[in-house]
Amino acid sequence: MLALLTFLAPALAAELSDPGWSGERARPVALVVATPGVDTGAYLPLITTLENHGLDARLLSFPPGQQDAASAITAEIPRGLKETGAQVLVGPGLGGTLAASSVAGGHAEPTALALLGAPLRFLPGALNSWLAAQPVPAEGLTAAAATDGSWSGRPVLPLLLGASPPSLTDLDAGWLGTLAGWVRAEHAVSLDGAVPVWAGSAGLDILAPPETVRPQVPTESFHRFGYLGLDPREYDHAALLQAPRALRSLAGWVTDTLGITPQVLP
Amino acid sequence: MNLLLMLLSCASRSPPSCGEGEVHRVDTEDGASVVLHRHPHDGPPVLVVHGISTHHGFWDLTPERSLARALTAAGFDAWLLDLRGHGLAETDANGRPQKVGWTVDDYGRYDLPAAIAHVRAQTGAETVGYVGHSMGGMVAAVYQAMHGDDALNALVVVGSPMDFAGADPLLELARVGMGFGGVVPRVPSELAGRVAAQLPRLVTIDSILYQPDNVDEATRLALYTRGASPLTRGELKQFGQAVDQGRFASMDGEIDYLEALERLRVPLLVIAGRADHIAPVDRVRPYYEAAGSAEKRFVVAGRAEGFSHDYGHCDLGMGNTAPTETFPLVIDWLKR
Repeated sequence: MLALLTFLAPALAAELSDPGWSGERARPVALVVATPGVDTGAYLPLITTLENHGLDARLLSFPPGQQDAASAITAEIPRGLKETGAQVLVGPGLGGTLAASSVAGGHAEPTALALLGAPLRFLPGALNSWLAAQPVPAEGLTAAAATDGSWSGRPVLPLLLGASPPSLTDLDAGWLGTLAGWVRAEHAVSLDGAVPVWAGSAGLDILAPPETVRPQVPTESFHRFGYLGLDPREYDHAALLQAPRALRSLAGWVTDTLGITPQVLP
Repeated sequence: MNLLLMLLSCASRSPPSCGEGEVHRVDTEDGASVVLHRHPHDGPPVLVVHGISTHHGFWDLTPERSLARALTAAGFDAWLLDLRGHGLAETDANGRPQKVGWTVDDYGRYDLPAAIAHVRAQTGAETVGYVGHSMGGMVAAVYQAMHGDDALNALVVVGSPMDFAGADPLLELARVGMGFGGVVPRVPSELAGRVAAQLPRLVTIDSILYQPDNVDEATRLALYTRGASPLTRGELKQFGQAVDQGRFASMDGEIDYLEALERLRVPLLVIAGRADHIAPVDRVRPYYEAAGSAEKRFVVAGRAEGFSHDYGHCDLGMGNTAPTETFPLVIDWLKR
């Protein structure tokens, strides 16, 4: 049923898609902000869970050539909310960083913001410093060139994103340059609670470990997964974005916050 | 004679550490006593302090996993402390239990000043280096809040949480256990450890305490059979209060020890384990951020920082790779 029904909104540079229950329009809409360059299939577990909780999940993704972070934050995300009538922004991974930046900057005003594995501050560290120092060519950068690197004798992508990292396709050099700049500048996004926030994180998520999330959100907004969250296992970044309990917890919070009756389907 | 009696009484139990060192019992200002285990060297002295539910033996568990030996080999005069109620200081000089009623505050208010004064007197050194694991690092914050840090020349804290806001579910569960602090004088962790040593590795318990891949069986058994010490009523009450209040503060609530770190001036190294489920990185990092020290460094012991493992809580000090990865960090900081 999860046929990927994509429609391009001409007014949007970013790409809106409705990967779920097509034809269903009575449900509250949740706009999922994808991480530029990440294969949209990585978000199907999240989208499925949102839909199983009675929400209409739409995906805002950023095709090659449309991965300018500033534009995403100030224009594409707000327009995506307006276009879809979404009440909730959902941000997995760096898509969450973009969504949070849009909310913190006053560009987007959703009813609620849910983040999972989304770094809200970039801290110095060995791998981060290496990433920040990488030359980013202006043109011709391929996903393979960007992600096949190794650091300290280890491939970067599994180290950063986990044992089963999502496919990265169509990465823009500009977007990678933005990321490197965020690391260099120790970029931070603070959410003061003006918009209700739910932020999930896991200790072994190297992209968005708890120290990059918890200090940036109100105390009660933070939710830790893994042993400390009484899970039977630890999660890296990719595993967290697929973890059923984390996804159900996020979706449950959204339905509670919107005051709708969850329609939990198997 | 007292020393002989004490050593003999200890001999009837598993020895708390792998062995060598002079034993010094030191009285505190409030009538309790602590015990120092010296691994002598002509070099500068370093005071090494254990965490909760363990004793000096944590830092000297086996010859291969001994910070004490590593420090001595590096030219330091290592003094391993048993806080009151732990290790050889579980009892007083006469073999009687220490006077009850102390809290974590008292470790910093009385125990550390007594230990530091003794080390300075014995060595003639103006200042001492300090290494603390877990609660041992928190106690350093208590000490500096009450006495300042003039007597220290370097501070290394390893896996020491200073931020208790928004307790995680596992900590909330532990908080229920801390409630026993109101009704029992001590929780016999050492007995539990000996029982655990007889069991096969328990995935959850072992994984919470340390990174299982980084602790061989002999060291695991040594930790459980020789490294455990009772949880005391005062510790349970004060950590329970920390969870309830979301901050580590004195029992009377007057001193917020995290805020007081602003007055810290001694060079500070903070080490956190990426897979530490007792003192996770985000709860340790505030120690570093709050410190007023002009010279300070924060290290996450994890694979993304170039370490061989994502370290857990205990293997930061006794893991297979601690002697080659975390010990050199500690020693380099003390040498700087």
